Amino acid sequence: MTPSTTPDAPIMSVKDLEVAYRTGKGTTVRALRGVTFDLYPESALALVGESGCGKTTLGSALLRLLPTLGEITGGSITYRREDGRELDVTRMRTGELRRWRWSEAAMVFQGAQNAFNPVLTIGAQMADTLIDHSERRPSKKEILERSSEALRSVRLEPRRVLRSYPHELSGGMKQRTLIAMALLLRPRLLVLDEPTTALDILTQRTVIDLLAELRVEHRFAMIFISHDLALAAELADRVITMYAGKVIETGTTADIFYGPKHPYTSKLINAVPPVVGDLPELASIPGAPPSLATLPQGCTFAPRCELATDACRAAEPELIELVPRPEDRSHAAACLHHDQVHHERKVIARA
Amino acid sequence: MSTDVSSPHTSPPATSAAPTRRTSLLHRIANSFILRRLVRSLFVIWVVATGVFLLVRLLPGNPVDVYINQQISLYGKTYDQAAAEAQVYFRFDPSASIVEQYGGYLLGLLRGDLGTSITTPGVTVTEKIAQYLPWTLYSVGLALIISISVGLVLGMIMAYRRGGIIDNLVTVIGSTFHAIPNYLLAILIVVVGAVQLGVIDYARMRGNISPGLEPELSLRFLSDIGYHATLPMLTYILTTAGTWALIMKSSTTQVLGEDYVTVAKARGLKDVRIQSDYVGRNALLPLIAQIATQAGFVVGGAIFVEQTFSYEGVGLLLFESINTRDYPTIQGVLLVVTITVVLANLAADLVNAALDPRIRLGAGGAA
Amino acid sequence: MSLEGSTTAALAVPAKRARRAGRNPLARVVSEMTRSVEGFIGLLLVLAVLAFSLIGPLIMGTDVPGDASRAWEGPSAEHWLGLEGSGKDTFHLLVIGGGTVLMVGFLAAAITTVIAVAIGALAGYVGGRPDAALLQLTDIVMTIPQIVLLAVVGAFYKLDSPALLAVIIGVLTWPVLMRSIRAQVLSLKEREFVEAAQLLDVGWFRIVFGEIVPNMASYILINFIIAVTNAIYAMVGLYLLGLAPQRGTNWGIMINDAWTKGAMFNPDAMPYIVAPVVMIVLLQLGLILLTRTLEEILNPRLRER
Repeated sequence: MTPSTTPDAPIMSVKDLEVAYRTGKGTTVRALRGVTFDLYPESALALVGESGCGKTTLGSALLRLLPTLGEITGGSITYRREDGRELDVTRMRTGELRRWRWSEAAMVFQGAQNAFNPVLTIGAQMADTLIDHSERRPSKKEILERSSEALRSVRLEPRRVLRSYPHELSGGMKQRTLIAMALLLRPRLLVLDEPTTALDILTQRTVIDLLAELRVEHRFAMIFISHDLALAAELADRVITMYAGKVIETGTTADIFYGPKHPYTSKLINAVPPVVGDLPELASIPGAPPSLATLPQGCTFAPRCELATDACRAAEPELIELVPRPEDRSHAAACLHHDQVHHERKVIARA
Repeated sequence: MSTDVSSPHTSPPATSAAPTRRTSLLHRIANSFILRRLVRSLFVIWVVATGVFLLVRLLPGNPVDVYINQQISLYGKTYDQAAAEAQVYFRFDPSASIVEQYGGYLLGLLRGDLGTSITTPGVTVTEKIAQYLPWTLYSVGLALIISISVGLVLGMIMAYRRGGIIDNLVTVIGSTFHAIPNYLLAILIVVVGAVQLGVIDYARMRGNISPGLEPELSLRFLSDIGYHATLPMLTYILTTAGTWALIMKSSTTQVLGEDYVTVAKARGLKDVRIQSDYVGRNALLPLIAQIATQAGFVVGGAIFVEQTFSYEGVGLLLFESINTRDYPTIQGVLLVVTITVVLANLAADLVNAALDPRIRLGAGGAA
Repeated sequence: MSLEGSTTAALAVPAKRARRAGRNPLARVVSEMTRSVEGFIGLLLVLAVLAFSLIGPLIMGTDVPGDASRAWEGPSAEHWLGLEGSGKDTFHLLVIGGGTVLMVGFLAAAITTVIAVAIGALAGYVGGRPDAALLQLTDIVMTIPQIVLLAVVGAFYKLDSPALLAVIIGVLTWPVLMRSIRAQVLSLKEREFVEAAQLLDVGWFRIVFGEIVPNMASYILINFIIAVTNAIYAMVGLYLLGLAPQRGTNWGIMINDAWTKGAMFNPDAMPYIVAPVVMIVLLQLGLILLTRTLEEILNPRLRER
């Protein structure tokens, strides 16, 4: 792969993205309410948050893979090609979108269990992908070579996997095959939605290591969506926390894990116990995320936050930049009382 | 009612097994599946044959005894005489033990001997059936093919454009026709179409072939039998096409919601490929399973439909035999019809296996 | 990848209709049924046919006088559908013709449902060899086209009364129903309340018929209605074949008359033939629409958005 473009040109820019779902006759629900971030080439961004915060919606929206009831109602997603040309993903026409998908940006979905067509072999499905993305039909040899290479890069044996049907592979093998297929066309951006959730711990480890390796080797930018903070900590340079359809904190991994400045992020980290070491005080977050149909006035986290004041409930706070950095790595939090957020984990039992 | 396709359970943990010698293993498994289905079909046929035997011979008030008594009382024959006649018609020996009779019966079946018709003495049941069966197979078979094809296309369109005009139209019309029993539709076609409206030339279209025409491989012959088969086929098609469309629509809708279709779109595959290889092939599978049940249903309806249109297939044969109490023929037709349905089942199963690797190779196995 | 699950589940869409109907379960069911146009029509049709056939005879009397000299008179103000072959009022015949059909249909369906539930529930719950054996048996019986089997049985053995007809139909058509009952039982078997009952050492009989079956009540209802449509199809078919008791008069006999006595080709006889056909079709249509609406109610995922 040729080296990336100038370091200050993001590969993907999302501005004020709004997504809504139709929920009944004439009613809609805003699932994303103005999301903005820039992703730079070869960087890894983690989107974290509880279920329903909008992270999966965001991931799907980036490739315009929202379900039938969802649609992008505002904002833009700009993808910058290697040659510098910019494309507005939200406005691409079908043909162009089809060609762009997978070759420039690919997505690995949650739960690879059903990601493959049950009546075709893996080899056939890889061939499909290659054939539909080439001007002239590639030769059988070429297809075989490229598919085998992709499978080898995820440490699977091509001879066996290519002639297997999906139901003959285990969960972990399927997940790795899906990753291999995603890298088949050497995309520059890879979106992963909960890539390890459905797997057992040992397979998770394999996949995580694999992803880290592949990132270095193929040099793609990565966005992955997870509720698993440990995973985020391992793989990402940057973390964005989402709540009720908005970005409430963004920063480097160190920022988020050692010095979060939004009470929600802080509580999120505190809710997860480490496997080894001292046992910190565990605190679950009282209450539940608000229903997107009936959002509270002002800061959406206020009902569950002990730092909330009237100012918080008056108007929804914007992201406040705390530590400016280039390449959208600034640490910012959408909280009026960010200075009062002191993140510490009280140890209640020594290891 | 849905068929029982066992879903793959959680796959066993991945082990790195040595690559299997695929070709020979594949052959063995494929063969064994075919063999298994074949054996099972034969078993079913045997059970039905036995059931028919029991029905005819063992239960009280059974036709053979009735026949014998009838002959004795009406025509004053002796028991031996009546029994001898019965033996010819029903192909059994009343003096032999039940087990021997059963054995004789089975052997006779294997020889293709179904007894002799009472109403047309001298003509064996097998001969009669051989004369009538092809017509039913032709009309029902062709109707099924047309009906499924139409239903398939409509169903996919309906699934892709849910709530559209075709969707609503086909659903309403299809459901209405489904509610009409096929025999009543046949009657309605005659009463309304022919008698009232005069649109359908019943007199010319009835029967299965124009008088005087000999079977031969010519266009004239083929178009003639097609012309005569139109009314029965119309009845079959009208009553089933809507159902096929609805089944295909539901199946396609379900497949469209599957993950692999979304992934296929994400992979930037061409629409045509997704529609045929990813959606179509998978949506088709439940349909094939239904063919067997629907085939049985249509064949059953043939009894009435053929009578209404004077179409000389086994349905008509059965109807007439029932009216004349020609028990050997009734028995023979029941057997033949069931065998046909069993074979149709078998064919559907084999096609299903050919199209669905999960059935071919066993579900949920990580090597 | 249930995206819809996470977002829309966060919504609490109030069940306004249910609340309005109050806590009365019957009112709720009716309200749900009339939610969709087709459900409403279905219910209406079935009720109309029931009223026509059950209350009609009470109003018009069961005795139908006939004047053979006026055979096949056309429709008039006095005789809405005209007269038939023996001079009887066709409309009157139509009114009294439904009772038997409905009785046989519902009785046969009831018998079938009871047998199917008993065998299906047991097979599904017990599992193992007995289940496999029963399934085999069911499969085999299912291979024989239902109507052919009935026709043959009807030919071999005389069916003297409508009740006997209902019994024969009921006894021979349970296999199809049994499979769906069994499938449902299989899925319910894994649920917690069954496990709880097992832990409490409640006997299997009470588990199957006291716990599982009541939980399937609505599912059984749907299958019952489907069984009614099947039974009516079988019964009318048997009448057409002349294998069902020809005493009295009912829609099946009317159609059979037309068919076998060539009345089909008599243009004047059209009301006599078409009227019972229409009644049967309306009844079947109503029942089918009802089952579809009930299915939608019970399985909300089928609901059109």
